Amino acid sequence: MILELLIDGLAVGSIYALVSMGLVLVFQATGTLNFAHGDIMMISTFVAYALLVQLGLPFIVAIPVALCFAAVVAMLSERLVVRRLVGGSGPAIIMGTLGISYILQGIASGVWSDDIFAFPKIFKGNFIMLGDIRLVPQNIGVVVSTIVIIVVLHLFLTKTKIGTGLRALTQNRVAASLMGVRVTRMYTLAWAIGGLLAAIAGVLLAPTLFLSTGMSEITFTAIMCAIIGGFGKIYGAVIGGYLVGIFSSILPVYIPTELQAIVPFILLMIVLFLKPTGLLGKKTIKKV
Amino acid sequence: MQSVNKKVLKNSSLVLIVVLLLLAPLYISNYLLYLVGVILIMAIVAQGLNTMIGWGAIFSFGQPGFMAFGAYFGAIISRLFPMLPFPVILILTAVASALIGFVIGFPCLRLRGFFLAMATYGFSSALFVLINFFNNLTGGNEGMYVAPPTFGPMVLSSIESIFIMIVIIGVLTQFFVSNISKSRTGHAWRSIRDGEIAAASLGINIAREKLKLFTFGSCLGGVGGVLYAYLIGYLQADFFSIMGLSFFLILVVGGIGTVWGPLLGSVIMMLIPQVFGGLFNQSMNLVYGAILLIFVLIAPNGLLGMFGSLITNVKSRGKA
Repeated sequence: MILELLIDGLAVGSIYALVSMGLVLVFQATGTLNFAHGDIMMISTFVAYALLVQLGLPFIVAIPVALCFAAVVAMLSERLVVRRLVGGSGPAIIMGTLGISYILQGIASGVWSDDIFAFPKIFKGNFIMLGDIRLVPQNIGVVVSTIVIIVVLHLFLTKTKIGTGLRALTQNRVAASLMGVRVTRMYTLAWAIGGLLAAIAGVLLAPTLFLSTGMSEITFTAIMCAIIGGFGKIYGAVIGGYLVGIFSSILPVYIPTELQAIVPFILLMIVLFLKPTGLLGKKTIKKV
Repeated sequence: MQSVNKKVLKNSSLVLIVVLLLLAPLYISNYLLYLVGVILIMAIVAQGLNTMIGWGAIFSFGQPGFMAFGAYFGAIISRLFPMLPFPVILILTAVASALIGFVIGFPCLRLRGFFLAMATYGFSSALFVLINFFNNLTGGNEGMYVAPPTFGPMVLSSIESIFIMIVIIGVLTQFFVSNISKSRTGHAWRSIRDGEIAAASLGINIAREKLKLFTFGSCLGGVGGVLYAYLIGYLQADFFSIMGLSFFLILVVGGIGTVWGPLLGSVIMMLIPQVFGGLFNQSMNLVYGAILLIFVLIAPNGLLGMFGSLITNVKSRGKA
């Protein structure tokens, strides 16, 4: 029973990990917290739904198109809105991404309405019995694909030249630009990768949770996961995501189910109380 | 001489507007009274957020939560102690909201920017969950009715009396904020926004001033909440959770950090659904998002900031 819940938690945590990794990547590279992240995820999942169900295309076509759509939306947001606000006041950037979030919400509810849709399963098949434990193929698929994506992202960031440039940017923007890193291109790239990660998470999440415009609220949970892990670190986001996923699956056994929604918040408060910089975060002192 | 005249003109026009508002129940319909009441309440709550963001750079998502807290707190104590007159309930709610703001702010204000925003968002959403969880006290999903406010033996059940109370509280809030913005504390708060390190080097205790600001803002949220509870007479947690980001819109449209911005923003944000509602009924969010982006990109200081710079432009042109 607990083991099954643990695997459920791992699957939920994988989604949180993917979403908050995208958030942190964008935040590290461009210093912007993207409040439209969940909305990019939501609308690209709707695009996948439209292609799969409404047009009847196979997965192999629909999913890549939806992923590209997410990357394009993210890049456009960066180009048209965020780039003009970077360097301005903090509230302006937050309001800017909130504006994008509203617009994407409005488009999605205008085109597809606020109803709930059933998204087709990607990982089909019956339960797999492993001793007493019942494994759901969807959950296994989600966990495995998340691990693959984390490994690929890690290799990209550490082994390729572009990835190294992206990491250099997060450490010191001026030095990176002096070493020949094209800063504005890297900004766009970081947003595109963030969009891709969000779309992947959306397509993986939609079959278990239904597809609806309310899906975008995941942004806030994902930000909490990222803070729990220590906001500066991509792997912190992974740890935070899995922690929140596992706790919110297992704790409802011991506490009333209605209170499940505040589990991430309680975890966040506990972590911030014990270690204000998050689990992997280092203390930084702001210098003038 | 001229500036004295201007001041007299400004003050007398303000007094005229307040008198017109107080007499409004005599000449406008109940529906309009309700609308204007909601506008004033939104302006009070937005004023709380305005002081937090505009003066202390404290980005809080907590305002709907504080509003809900104030509404439910007022409704529950007025049900438990039906003899309490309205002003006592109002003061108790204000004190309780300020206290909650203090308790939430104390750990949260150690955080900055985005982190603080998330912690306050967490507070709001946790509160909505708790409201629905303690359903024997709050009615849970079914909501609860609010007893009409009493004043001694009088029962102020009519919308007119509630409206007048809202106007009085609104005027007090506005008066208080415009005075405090000119005071020593107001200057200290704005210096925090402009540069925390510089402010600290001038001997301003950042942590304490921020906590004061947060407490003040949450208190206004709670007061707005209890007024809202009395105005509509019925409460549900969803009323507040859907308000989510509307206070940011109000501030961006009106002008962040200005004394009159929240009021102007509330008026405009209330008119927008009346104008665009028929056209975009499914996707009002699109309209709100577009407005937010247009203001942030083109007029980051809101309407008041825009008018202000127009006036100075015209003036400087006249001099040249």
